[in-house]
Amino acid sequence: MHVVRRNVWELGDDWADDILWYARGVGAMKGRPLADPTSWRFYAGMHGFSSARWQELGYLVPTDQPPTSALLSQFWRQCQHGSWYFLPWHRGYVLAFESNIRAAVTDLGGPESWALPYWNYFKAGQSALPPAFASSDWPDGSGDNPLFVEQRYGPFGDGNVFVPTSEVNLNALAEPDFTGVSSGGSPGFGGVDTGFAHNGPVHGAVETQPHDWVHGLVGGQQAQFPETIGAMSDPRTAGLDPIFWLHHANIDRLWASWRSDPAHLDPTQPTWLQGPASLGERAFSAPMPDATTFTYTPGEMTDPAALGYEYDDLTPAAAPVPPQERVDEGLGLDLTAEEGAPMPENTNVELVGANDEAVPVRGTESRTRVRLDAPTRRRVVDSLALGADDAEVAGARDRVFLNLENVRGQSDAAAFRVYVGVSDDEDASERPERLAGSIAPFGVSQASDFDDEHAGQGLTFVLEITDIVDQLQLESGFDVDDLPVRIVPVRPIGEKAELSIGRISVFRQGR
Amino acid sequence: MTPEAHQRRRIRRPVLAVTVVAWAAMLVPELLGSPPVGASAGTTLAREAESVGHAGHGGAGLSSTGLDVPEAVHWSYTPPWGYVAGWGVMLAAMMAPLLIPALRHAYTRSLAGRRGRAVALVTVAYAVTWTAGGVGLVTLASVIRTPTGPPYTALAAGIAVALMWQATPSKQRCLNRRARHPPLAAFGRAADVDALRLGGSHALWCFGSCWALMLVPLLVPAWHLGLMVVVTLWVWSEQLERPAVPGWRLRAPVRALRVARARARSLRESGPSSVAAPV
Repeated sequence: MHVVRRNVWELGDDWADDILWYARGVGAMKGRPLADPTSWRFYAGMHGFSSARWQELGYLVPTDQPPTSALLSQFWRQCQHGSWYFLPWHRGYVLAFESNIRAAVTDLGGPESWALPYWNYFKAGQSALPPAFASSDWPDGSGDNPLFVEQRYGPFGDGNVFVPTSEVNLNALAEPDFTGVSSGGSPGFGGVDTGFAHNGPVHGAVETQPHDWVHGLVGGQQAQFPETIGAMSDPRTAGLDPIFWLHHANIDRLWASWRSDPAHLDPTQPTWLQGPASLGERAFSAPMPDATTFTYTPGEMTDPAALGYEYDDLTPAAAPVPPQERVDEGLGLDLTAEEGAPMPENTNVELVGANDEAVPVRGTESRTRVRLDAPTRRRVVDSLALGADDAEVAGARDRVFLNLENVRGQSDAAAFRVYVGVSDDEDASERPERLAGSIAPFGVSQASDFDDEHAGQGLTFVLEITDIVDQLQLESGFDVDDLPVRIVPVRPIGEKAELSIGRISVFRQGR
Repeated sequence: MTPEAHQRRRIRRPVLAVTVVAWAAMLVPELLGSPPVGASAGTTLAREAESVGHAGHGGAGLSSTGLDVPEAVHWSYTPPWGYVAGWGVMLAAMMAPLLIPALRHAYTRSLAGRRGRAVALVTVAYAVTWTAGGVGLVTLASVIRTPTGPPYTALAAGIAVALMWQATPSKQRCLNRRARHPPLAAFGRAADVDALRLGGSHALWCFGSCWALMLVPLLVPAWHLGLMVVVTLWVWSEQLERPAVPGWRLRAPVRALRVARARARSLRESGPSSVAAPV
């Protein structure tokens, strides 16, 4: 069977058939007990689980019979984040979930060709939560709509759920390579080869943006007491929200979109193709509606058509713009490299500078200054000053990255914006061209636990700032001893979040 | 090879080269029957513990607690320089690979001009902290020998201690904390202090993870090196395990076996695996 996944906003109606059947399928899965491997909560537990958080959100009660320990050890807490397995693991997870919903749909008399819709929040007019998910009622007005989740608070914590399009971007799609490095340079489109480690601290480009950001802002955190953190904001509860699956269908679509460029290739290393099982870890697996187990490897997840589905549209909606072009366009210059020119391998990554101490992120703003090492900074300046109209030289220009290292905290919903090069007397909101990026620290509370897989060191986020540095250089602003960095939370962050950034650093990646 | 794997290799290769040389320095003299000076550190240490323990057993200058190490007896078997050299070689052989993640962290997160210095400081702090721990271990071995009399009784006590520690939540906490990479200052004295702190804390958590296992070779009356090889493989394998919630449980580093099995299966099987779509 071959199915087509379609845009949830373009199905024709708020409660189009595909959405209605999705709701019925979700309802059927929610009706099954936790211990049933095809139940709603069991599937959510495959992504992550926290007894305390599930109880807090009302998804776990003392009378629940837990799954057997064999099922738990085989299926639960499998999610892959901060790793180059992020995309293939989620592709198989969504695929298996879709099969379970489809089975429930057909059992209820629905179409066998039902496919999971995707939510393309980038498209004009489609950034709001699809209406069927925002109402507690079915279309006939009766309550108990299974697509509705009370703990979905949105960017400002008031229940108005949408994705602020001014702060999401598709720049990840311009990443030339699937995998990168954890040493301060680009982590690549799909994430870093984590080797024997599991769940590395550095998220890949598409994982950071838009994946993390959409998770953090759709779930959000309740503005009023008791300031509950939304289900989508936390990896341990995200799978409990039906919108999770439409979000991940979109992330999966972006992978297919990235791959549609012939120059963009998936990894070919055996450790990626064969997955963590080749490194002594559990194989990726998911329970199927016919009581079988779907066991898969990343190598088997590379081609959606071979897996029996496609997307109706692979257009990313907002064109990704490589950083150099962004700044050149802004400055009215034509500095693009000649088409077809060979690009040199720029894998040398070096620290340019760092701030001196940890930055607590609280209130409405935090400021620090990144001290720059003069000789390394000079190399960056020289590199960016090269005549970029010469294609070979243009390829040798540095890329520059801001690293937010060891981000620790207790609230995964504590999203913030990062500005670079805004002077002390300026209002950051009036300098949007200096916005390095927006961070929603998805998974930070778990990563801050000393006994978690991250050993309490937190997460590290990498933001490309080549365009900002290029602007600063043209304004002679980068050839300075230090660089101002400003952290501006989307909503004021309280002390309870205990959010801090261990170090803010600048790295160059080039020859 | 991925760029990340390439960067990992840049640190791993020289460290593993040092490890191989250190093992050669320990094994070759032992096999040739040379005196256990310097290179035969494992044997040296075991004999240090033995000599101290026997002296204590005979009441030669030890306090009633048995914790005081009499200098004269302790150094009578091996000169100090031999002890230091031997300890350094043994440390390199057994523990250098466990330092790779910390070295890589210091290397990649330091300014290019300070990388060598950062790596050196991490290494020095690691070695010094481990050395302090080593003195403690030798002392502990002597204490265990003192009251128990026959050497195999001491060995049994050492194995019991190792098994007990292996099952404790504290052991898991040490394994977990060893994987932590804190932020490092980039400039000046603060950068040096952070590098030293990284090496020292890494050694501390390593010591917490390994001390009980390393105690066992110090208590055997023979086959010190053979047992050291076993302990070394064990602690290297533990490095592959994922951090876990601390708790009381029997803890064995079985992931290394799973990796070996997966690699063997991969070698046996050839050709692309078929896709089993769940649709």
